[in-house]
Amino acid sequence: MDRMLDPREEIIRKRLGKIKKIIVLSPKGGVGKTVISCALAVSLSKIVKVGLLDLDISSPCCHIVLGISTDVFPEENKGILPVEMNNLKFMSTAFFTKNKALALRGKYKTEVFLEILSVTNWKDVDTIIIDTPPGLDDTFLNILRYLENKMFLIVSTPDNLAVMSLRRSLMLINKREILGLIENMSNKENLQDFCKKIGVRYLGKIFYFQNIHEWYGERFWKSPLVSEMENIVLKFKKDILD
Amino acid sequence: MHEWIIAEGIAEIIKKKNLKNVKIHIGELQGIDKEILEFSLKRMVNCRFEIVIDKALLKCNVCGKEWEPRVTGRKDEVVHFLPEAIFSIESCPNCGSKDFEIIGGRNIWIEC
Repeated sequence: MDRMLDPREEIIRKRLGKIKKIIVLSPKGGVGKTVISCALAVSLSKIVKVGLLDLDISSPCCHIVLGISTDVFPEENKGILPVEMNNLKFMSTAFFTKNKALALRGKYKTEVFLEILSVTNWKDVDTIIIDTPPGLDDTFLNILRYLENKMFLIVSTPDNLAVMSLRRSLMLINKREILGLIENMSNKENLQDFCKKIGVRYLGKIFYFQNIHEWYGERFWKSPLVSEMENIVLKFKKDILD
Repeated sequence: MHEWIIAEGIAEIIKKKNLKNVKIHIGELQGIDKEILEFSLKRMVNCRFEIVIDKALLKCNVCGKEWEPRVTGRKDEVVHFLPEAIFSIESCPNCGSKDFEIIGGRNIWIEC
């Protein structure tokens, strides 16, 4: 009987198996996953060899937040080398699509997922932060299926809609794989009690920044948001370094 | 090189499943150099294999038009590393839609 075997699954296992992955997740859009992912990557780059992968395939934005140009095509050496900036290695579909729209049906999102994970050579990286699109669709399911050695970092705003969506999505994740929750755009510590109820570690809060977009670009690396993230990272640094 | 990584992945599967005779399908959009892949694989496995290039073909979901893309997987094109980038480049030559399928030449897979 003929069987179809995809070599990319083996490549992903081989390339990424030992690297720790922090999946930045929220089922609801607009909670600030991208900004949190970038701030986390910048903070961690000061203590570990870290990579950042933008898996928001159709609408990648991490490069905008960090001020990384997509004009230059990444170099090739046993795959594609992530672009390096200030000790942080970065990969995104934006390098391939530039500023053109990429409208994809579900199965093609899986193809992009498999392709970018198998073709990127992260060599020497200890931890990869993965920014994800909102929702619980193909990318989320592919993460569950294909990625080992991972932890989920949940991002939520105190808004009731975000919290309700989050509660539903937790039914799909192994609790032992949850690193914790960061409350974003916070006014007060609304989510600490919620985290106690659901048995998820509350890592801290990032206050609402009125004009955060003014910090996008090279200034982001020294922004107040990154400083707040550095304080939060102290709470789970041990989980990363062990 | 890209071919080497692909060869490593294929070799892992061949060794794990103890395959003796396989047909390796390479989608044209992947832009894999067949000779380099053959050379790499021969150094990695002791198995009979045949490499077949599957031609790239697109089909519009709106009007049904089928066409061969202008871009291929040549090393100087983004499609070489990410075939789905073709959705940002191509449009249906008949109706202009970007809602199309890749019906040929996309994947790498092993038939055994």
